[in-house]
Amino acid sequence: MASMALGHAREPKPRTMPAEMRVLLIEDEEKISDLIRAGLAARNMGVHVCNDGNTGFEQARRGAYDAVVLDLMLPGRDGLSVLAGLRAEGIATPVILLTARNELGDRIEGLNLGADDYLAKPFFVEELHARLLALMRRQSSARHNVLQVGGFQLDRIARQVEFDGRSIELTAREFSLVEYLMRSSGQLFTRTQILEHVWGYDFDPGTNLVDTCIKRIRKKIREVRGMDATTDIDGVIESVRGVGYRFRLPA
Amino acid sequence: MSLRLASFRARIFLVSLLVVGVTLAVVAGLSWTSAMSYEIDRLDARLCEEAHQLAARPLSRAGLARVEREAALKLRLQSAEQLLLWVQPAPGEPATRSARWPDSLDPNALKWVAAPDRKPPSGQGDTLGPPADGIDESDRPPPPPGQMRGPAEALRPPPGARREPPDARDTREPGGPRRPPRMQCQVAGFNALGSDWRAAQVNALRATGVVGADLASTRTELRDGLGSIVWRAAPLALLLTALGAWLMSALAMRPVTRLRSAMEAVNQQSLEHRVPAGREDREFQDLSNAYNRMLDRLEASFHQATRFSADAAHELRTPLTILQGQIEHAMRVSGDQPIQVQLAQMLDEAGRLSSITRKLLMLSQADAGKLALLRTPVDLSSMLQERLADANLLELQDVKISSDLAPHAVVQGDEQLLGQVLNNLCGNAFKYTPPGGWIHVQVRAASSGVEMLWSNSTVPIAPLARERFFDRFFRGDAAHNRSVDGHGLGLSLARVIARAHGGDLTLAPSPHDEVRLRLWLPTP
Repeated sequence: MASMALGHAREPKPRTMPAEMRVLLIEDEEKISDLIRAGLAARNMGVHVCNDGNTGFEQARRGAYDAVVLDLMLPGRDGLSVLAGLRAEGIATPVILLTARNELGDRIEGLNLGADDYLAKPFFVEELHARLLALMRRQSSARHNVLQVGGFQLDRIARQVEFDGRSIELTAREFSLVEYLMRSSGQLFTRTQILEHVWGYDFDPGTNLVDTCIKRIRKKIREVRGMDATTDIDGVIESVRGVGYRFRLPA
Repeated sequence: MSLRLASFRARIFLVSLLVVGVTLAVVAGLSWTSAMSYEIDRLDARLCEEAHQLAARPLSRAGLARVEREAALKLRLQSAEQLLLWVQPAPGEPATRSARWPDSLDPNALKWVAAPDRKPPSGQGDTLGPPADGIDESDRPPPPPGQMRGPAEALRPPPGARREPPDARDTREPGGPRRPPRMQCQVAGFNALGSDWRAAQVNALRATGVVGADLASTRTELRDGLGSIVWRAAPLALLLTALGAWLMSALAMRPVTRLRSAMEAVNQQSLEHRVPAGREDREFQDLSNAYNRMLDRLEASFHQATRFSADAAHELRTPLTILQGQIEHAMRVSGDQPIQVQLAQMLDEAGRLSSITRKLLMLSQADAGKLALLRTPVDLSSMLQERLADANLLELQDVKISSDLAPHAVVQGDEQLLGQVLNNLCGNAFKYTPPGGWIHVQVRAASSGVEMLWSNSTVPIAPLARERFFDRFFRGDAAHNRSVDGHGLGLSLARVIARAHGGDLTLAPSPHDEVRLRLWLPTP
C-alpha cells in the first residue's frame, strides 16, 4: 500500500504497471461500467466487467478478485441473488453494492446478505475508489495502512499524521480530509466531493466549511514546520482557485 | 359523543316528534269532523222523532212549555232555551211556536233536506211516544203487506219510514192504494240567536212540526269527550315517540360510528387496508363498499405515483452517474487548463442534482410508508456534538452557539438517517441565523424517548412562512436575500425520517424573530 501511495504521488501513472487491486464489476449499464473501469484503471486498479448477473456470478466464483462491485439491477440474476449465492458458497470477497432504486431498503437487505459496503447512484468514481481502498485496508496488514508522500506520513490505524517525524494533531474531520486528499495525491477534488466524503451526504451548511477546515490544517502544518503565516501559503494542500484542492508537496 | 353526532340525533328526534305531533293533530281533526257528523246524524234522528211527536199530537199553547222541557231533556240539551218548537196543525192555520222562536225565522224558508236513513239511537225515552212505544220500532215485525192500519197508528211514523229514499214521498198519491202514510222527516241547519242550530221538520197528514236544537251542547259534549282522550293520549304518544326516536337514532348511528372507526383505522395504517363490510346491514355495506372502491382507486393511483417516482429516480440516477463520472474524468485529464474551473462547477451542480434526486426518492419512499430503517442504538448527543464542532469551522459571524446536552441520549434508530436529520437541522440553523444571532440546542433524555430542541434567532418570519416551514422546496425569505445554499427539502425530509421512527419534528411557538424546532424520537 505504501508503494501504491508513492505511485499515486507520481503522475501520470505508467499504464504498464501491474494493477494493485483486481476488481470485478458487475454492471449492465455500459456507459457506467466504462466510466468505472476507466476511472479505477487510472487509479491503478484492474477492472473486469460482466454485464449480467449470471456471468457475473460465475466470474466471481472462479476468479480471484480483491473486491466485487455489484449493481443491484441486473439482467439474469439480480444483484442481491448474486450476493446471496456468493456468500452461500462461502466466498468472502468484499462486495460493494451499487443501488439506484430503493436505496435504504437495498442497503439493509444487502448488508444483511453480507455486503461490505454500498454506494447509491449517482456517486463519484473517486468515492468508489476510496471505499474500495477502505475495504482492502480492513483486510490487509498494518503496513498497508500507512500512506506516505514525501516527508508526509499518515497512519490510518494510529490515526496519526507526521511530517518529517514531527506529529501533527488533527481532529477526526481534519484527519479524514487529509487522508482523502493524500490517497490520491496530486488529484484535484472539488469542495462538494470533499464535503460528501468527509461529512457525508447532504450536509450542506455552506461550502466555507471545507475552506475553513483546510485553513486550520495548513496552520497546524505550518506550526509543525516552524513557519510563520507569511510563508508557504498553501503548504502541502494546494488550492486551485474556483475549483477545489489537491494534495501536493511543494516543489 | 361528539357535537355533530348529537345534532344528528337531535334532528332525528325533533323530526320524529314533529311528525307524530302533526299526525296526532290530523287524527284529532279528522276524528272531530267524523264524530261531529255522526253526532249531528244522531241529533237529526232524535229531532225527527220529536218532530214526529210534535206533528202527530195537537199542542196547546199551554202545553208547549211542558213539551219543551220534556224534549230538551230527551235531546240531552242543557236547558229548554236550546230548543225551538214550531207546530202548525194544518196549512194556513196559525202556528204554535216557542216563545224564543225568532220572528225572522220562517221554517219554510229553510233549506230542508231529507233526513238520512238512520235509526234513532236506541235507548229509553228516546221517543216521545206512549210507553208502549218505548220499544224500538225497528224491532217490531213489519206489518204484513196490505194490512190496513188504524188512524191512530197511521199518525205515528211507520217502521222504516225514514229508511225511504227522499223521492219516496213523491209516490204518495192521494188516489193511490191505501198505504201507511209516509211522514218524511227533513232536516236543516241554520243560524239563529247567535249560534248554529239543527232542525227537523215532519209533515204528518196536515200538521207540520218543527223541532230545532242548538248545536252548542252537542259540540260541548263532543269536545269534552274527544278532548279528554286527546289530552290523555297525546303526552303519552309524544313521550313514547321521543323515547323511540332517541333509541332509533342511536341505533342508526351505531353502524356509522363503527364504519367511522374502521375508516380511521384504515387511514392510520396504510392504503392497503379495507373497511370490513360483511357484518353490516345492506345500506352500510353499500357505504363501506363505496369507500373501499374509493380506496382502491386511491391506492392504484398512489402506487402509480410511487412507482413513477421510483422509476423516475432510477431513470435519473443512471444518466446522473454517467454525467458525474464523465465530468470527474474530464476534470482529471484536463490538467491545469482553464476549463477545469468550469468542469468543477459542473461537477458540483451534478452533485446538487444527485442530492435532490436522492432526497426526492427518500421522500417518495416515506410517503409510501416504505422508508426502511436499519435500527441500532444511536447516541444523539455525541452525534450532535460532532456537528456542533463543525460549527466552529464555519466561522459564523458573531453567532453564539450554546448547548445543553444530556450525556446519553440513546435511541434505537437508523444512524445514517438520523445523521441526516441532524445534518439538516444544523444546516438549517447555521444558514438561517443572521450575523450577531444565537443558536441553542438542548437534548433531554427520558424513558419514553429523546427530545431535541433547536432554537435560533432569525430575521422576522411571517406567520405564513411558518405554516409552510415543512413544505417541500419551500425556502424562507432569508434564503433568497442571502443567497443561502439549499433546496428546501431538508426539513421536510427530516420530518419524514422522524415520523418513520415514530417521532415527529415540529415547529414550536416562539417570538417572531426566533425559530424553535422540536425533534421527538420515542424509545420503541
